[in-house]
Amino acid sequence: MTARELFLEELATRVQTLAVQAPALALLRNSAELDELPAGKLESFKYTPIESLYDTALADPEPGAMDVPDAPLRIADADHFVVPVSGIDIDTSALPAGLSALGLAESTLDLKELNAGLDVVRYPLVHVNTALIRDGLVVRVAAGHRVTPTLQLNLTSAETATCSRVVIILEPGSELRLFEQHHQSVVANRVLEIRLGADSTLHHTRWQGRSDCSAWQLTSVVLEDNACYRLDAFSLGGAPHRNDFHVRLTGNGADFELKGVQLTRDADKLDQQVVVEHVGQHGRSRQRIHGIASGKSRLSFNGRIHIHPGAQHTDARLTNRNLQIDGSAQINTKPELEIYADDVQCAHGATVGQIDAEQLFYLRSRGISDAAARALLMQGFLADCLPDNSLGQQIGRLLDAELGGPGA
Amino acid sequence: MSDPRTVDADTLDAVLERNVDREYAAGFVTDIESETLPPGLDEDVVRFISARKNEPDWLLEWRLDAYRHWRTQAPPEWAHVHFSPIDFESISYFSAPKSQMDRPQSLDEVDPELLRTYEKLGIPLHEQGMLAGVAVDAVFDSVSIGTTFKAQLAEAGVIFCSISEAVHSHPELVRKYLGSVVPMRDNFYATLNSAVFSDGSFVYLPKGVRSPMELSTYFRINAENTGQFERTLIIAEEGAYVSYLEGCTAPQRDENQLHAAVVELIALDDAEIKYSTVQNWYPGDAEGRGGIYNFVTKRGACLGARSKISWTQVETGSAITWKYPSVVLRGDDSVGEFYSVALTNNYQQADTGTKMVHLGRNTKSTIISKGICAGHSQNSYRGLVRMSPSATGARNYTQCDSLLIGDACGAHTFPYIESGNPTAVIEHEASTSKVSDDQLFLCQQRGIDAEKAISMIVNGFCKDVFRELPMEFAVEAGKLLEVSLEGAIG
Repeated sequence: MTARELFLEELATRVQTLAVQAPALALLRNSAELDELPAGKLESFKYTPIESLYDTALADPEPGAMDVPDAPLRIADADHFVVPVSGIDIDTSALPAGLSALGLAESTLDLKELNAGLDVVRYPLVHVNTALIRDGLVVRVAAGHRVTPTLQLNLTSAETATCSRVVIILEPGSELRLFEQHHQSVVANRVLEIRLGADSTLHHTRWQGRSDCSAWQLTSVVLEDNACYRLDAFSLGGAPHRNDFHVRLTGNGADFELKGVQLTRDADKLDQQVVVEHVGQHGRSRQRIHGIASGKSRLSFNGRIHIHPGAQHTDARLTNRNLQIDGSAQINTKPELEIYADDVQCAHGATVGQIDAEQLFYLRSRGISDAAARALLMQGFLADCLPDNSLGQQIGRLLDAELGGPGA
Repeated sequence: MSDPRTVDADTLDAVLERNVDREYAAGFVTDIESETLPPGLDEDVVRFISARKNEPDWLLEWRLDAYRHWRTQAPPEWAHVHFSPIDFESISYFSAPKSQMDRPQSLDEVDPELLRTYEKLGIPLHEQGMLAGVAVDAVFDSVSIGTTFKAQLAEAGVIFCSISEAVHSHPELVRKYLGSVVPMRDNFYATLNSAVFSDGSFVYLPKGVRSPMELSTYFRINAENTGQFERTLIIAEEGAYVSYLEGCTAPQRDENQLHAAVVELIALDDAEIKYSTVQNWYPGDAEGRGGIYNFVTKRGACLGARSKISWTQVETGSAITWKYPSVVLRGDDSVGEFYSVALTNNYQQADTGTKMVHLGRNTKSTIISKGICAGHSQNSYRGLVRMSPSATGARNYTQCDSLLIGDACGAHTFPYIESGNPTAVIEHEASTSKVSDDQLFLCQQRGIDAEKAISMIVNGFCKDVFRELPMEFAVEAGKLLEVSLEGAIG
């Protein structure tokens, strides 16, 4: 029996035993096209075979006793609020004005249309998420509202469904800060859908800790006219972790900026794939992803910029820089361009290299130990990608600890 | 005087000044009696080709092995090109000018009609030709029709002949190296070629020999409904050097024709092979009818320490190009280079690039790729740089730029970068832009018309690659770009 067949069998059993929360959800679950789950070699899963993500633990109805770590990152209390991702028992009275958070079933979303905004052909693992959906969270910011406290989503505990579905809708002219952290000890399949209305702005920070369980996550974002999406994404690897980002700038003048850090060590496997589609005119995108791989880890990155016909005056840039630290780590990177409009400016660059010997010598000549000097240089390498706020400082310290530097 | 192999800017300009023929100049058909197999492929066809060439049993068995394996394979679909499936049964796998059946002993015996064809193409088959000093092996449809300067090359120790001839005169070399770089089962089209290859060039340079002149092959498809499957094998022993040029043309026809060649290069210690191609197969007409499907496997192996293989290509022809001249850098300190200009216009599609596979220590590779696309064409760069765990101290630099002319074309970049050694350094950069309005304005303001200005800007954009071409090829390349861009500016 192949991994796929075994997985499909487990999944079918699991789907039958799932308690039904709402008839609409049950309908949605039944619409999952599990036959569409591919097998064998796929170009888009070249470095992380899709079969390694067909983890039957995902289909386990009772995860059992889990070692649940505390969320490592905190935002100052007055400044944030937390909602449970399962969508159940949300204390709506505690939410700031203009913001609503509802379970999928209670929301006004047409559940039959829930997957319509996702590219399920490109991301077939959405079908697994749909098949196992129990509930989800729909966050909506009303038109013109700027929500100042940070919305925190903690995807950290065993109670959090291994299959989570979150939809975030920013109505025209609204603004939200979102902080999402993952610290899972279970296999995960997560779909986060973000719809940004005209002139809205979302600041999104994600911390994804290391995990021994496999994980797949899709972040699918649509930007309408002049919408702005800022994403700071930090990922440590795991067994294996695959993160897909699908960002579509459908409106004119939309703006996307991604800063990312990817860090792997030991036997970690991390595979991040970003697809940015420019459909509207005068769009702008900037991506900077820095990675460090050590030990026997495997770090893969794929950044595709797709300029549709008519997306004139697009300005798209991507930089991916990687450091390979002593050991037998493998780094794969593929910055892609697919361009169907002529009046555009597109550029990408990718490098793989080591810590600069001269820089190391400079620090050593000032009496800094080899290990400390290396850690300092690696911190400096990652600093370009850190947000300039208190959260950025906390994340910086966590990364320092990973690198074994003075911040540890 | 500067290095004679680099292009003198004045020479290039002088050529560009000349009133070039704006249509596909090589689109004529030569009326010549030829022996052509009926369309279709089976074991008998393979046996026929082999028998026609009096091949030894081992080669027939090799071809049959390839044929049987090919039957189990499906054509690759990953390239960024779109075309209706090829009916491999409607192609004729062998076509030879009839008068060649009794193999002429010297050029004097070659059918004068054939020689006139090559004259029209500007190939100096006769030794007093316009580009004297270049030894040419010309391949017409499936067979080699003659090699020039043979005696002088032999004196220097260089073996330069058709591969069918080499099978008989140097069987040990052919047997040792044929399929050693591009294995018979490498890919769909290479396997097909292994089964039915008809002719091609063979070059062998013994230890320490520098070829006294540049070697050249000219390929031409003449007959209708035929495929051309040539096979080239170049071996440079320790310390040898050769510069090899390849050009191609085909008549204008409404049907698509298949060209599936295999080129294998082998460089031993301190050897250097420089391989330059100007590919001008018929690209189809302005509506995208006809044209050559150019599905080619080219690969070099730097087997020896400090060896060097350099690919330079100017691709302006073919309806579809699917081609990745690659280098396997096995020897320590070996060097691989790839310089490419790929121009597509009208409905042409190109998916081309290179693979640099680093295995040895301190191996180095450079990739410079310039893509120009106009009309409704699609132009992709696809490349792989792989640093294997053994490639300590390996280094790669890649630059690929695209120039867009018009808003209906597409320019794409798919570079795979895989590093498995913590001492390897890889740099990749790519950019895409259109011809800048400022540059155009500046030229037009000085009385240069738009078309001429675009041609100048494109030539400037390609300079890094043209510089690597031998002189006479650089001139031809400049001419070709200008002709190919005809009608691109509205």
